Amino acid sequence: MRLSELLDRAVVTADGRTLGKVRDVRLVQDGPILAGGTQAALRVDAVIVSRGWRGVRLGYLRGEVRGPWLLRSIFGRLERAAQAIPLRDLVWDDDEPRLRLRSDARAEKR
Amino acid sequence: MTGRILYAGLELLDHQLRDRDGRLCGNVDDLEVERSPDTGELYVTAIVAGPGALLQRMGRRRLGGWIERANRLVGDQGRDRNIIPLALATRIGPNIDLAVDAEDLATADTERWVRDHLIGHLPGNRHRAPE
Repeated sequence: MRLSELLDRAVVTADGRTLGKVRDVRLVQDGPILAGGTQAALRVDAVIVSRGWRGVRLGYLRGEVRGPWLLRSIFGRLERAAQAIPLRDLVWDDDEPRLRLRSDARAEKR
Repeated sequence: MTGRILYAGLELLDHQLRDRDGRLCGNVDDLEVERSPDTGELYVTAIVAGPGALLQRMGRRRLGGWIERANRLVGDQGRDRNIIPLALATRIGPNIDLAVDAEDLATADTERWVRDHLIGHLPGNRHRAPE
C-alpha cells in the first residue's frame, strides 16, 4: 500500500467522536538494515492527527517552537491541537474510510 | 523509541532525489509500505516517484493509476521503474541520495526521449554546453 492512503483519513474514537484527520505520519528508523542497503528500515510508528488547519505540515508538530513569543503563542496552539496516535492503537479496516481508535487507547498529546 | 524520527510529510514527501553523481532525478512523490510478516509492523519499502504517484496522492487516483499502469507496460518485465527500493537510498537528509544513475530511473525518461529523438537530430547537436 501507499503511505498517501493514510493521509487525510478521518480518525474517530471508539464511540465515533471525530478526532481530526491524519496530517502526517511519524516514522522511526529502528528496523533491520535493509537487504543490500546501508540504512535501517523505516517503521511506521504513528499518525499525527489534527482537527484544524495544516500547521503540522509546516513543521509545527514537534513542540520545538521556542520563540519569539508571538510565534510561540500562535504556533504553540497549533502544536497542542495535534496529537500522535500510535498505529497499534488504531483499527484499520480497508472497507472503512475512517481509522478508529481502539477503546483502550490513549492519544499521545504533542 | 531509540531510532531516528522522521515525519514523512514534512521530511520525505516532495523532497529531492539525487543520483550517485549528485544529479537531480525526481522527487519523493509517495512511499510504499508493507507489513512485516515477522513483527506485524509496517515498514517503508520503497520510494515512489513520477507523475502517476503524485496524481494519486493529490486525489486523481484514476488518472494516476492509468499512468502507472502505462509505465509498467513499457517497463522491463512489467517492473515499474518509478518504484525505487529504499535499500538504494544512501542518505536521507534534506535530499535523498540514491545509489543509482539517473539514467536508470523512469523520471529521466522524458528528458532522455527528448535528447535522443529531438535534440540529437538538430544540426550542431555535437556542441557541448560549457559546465
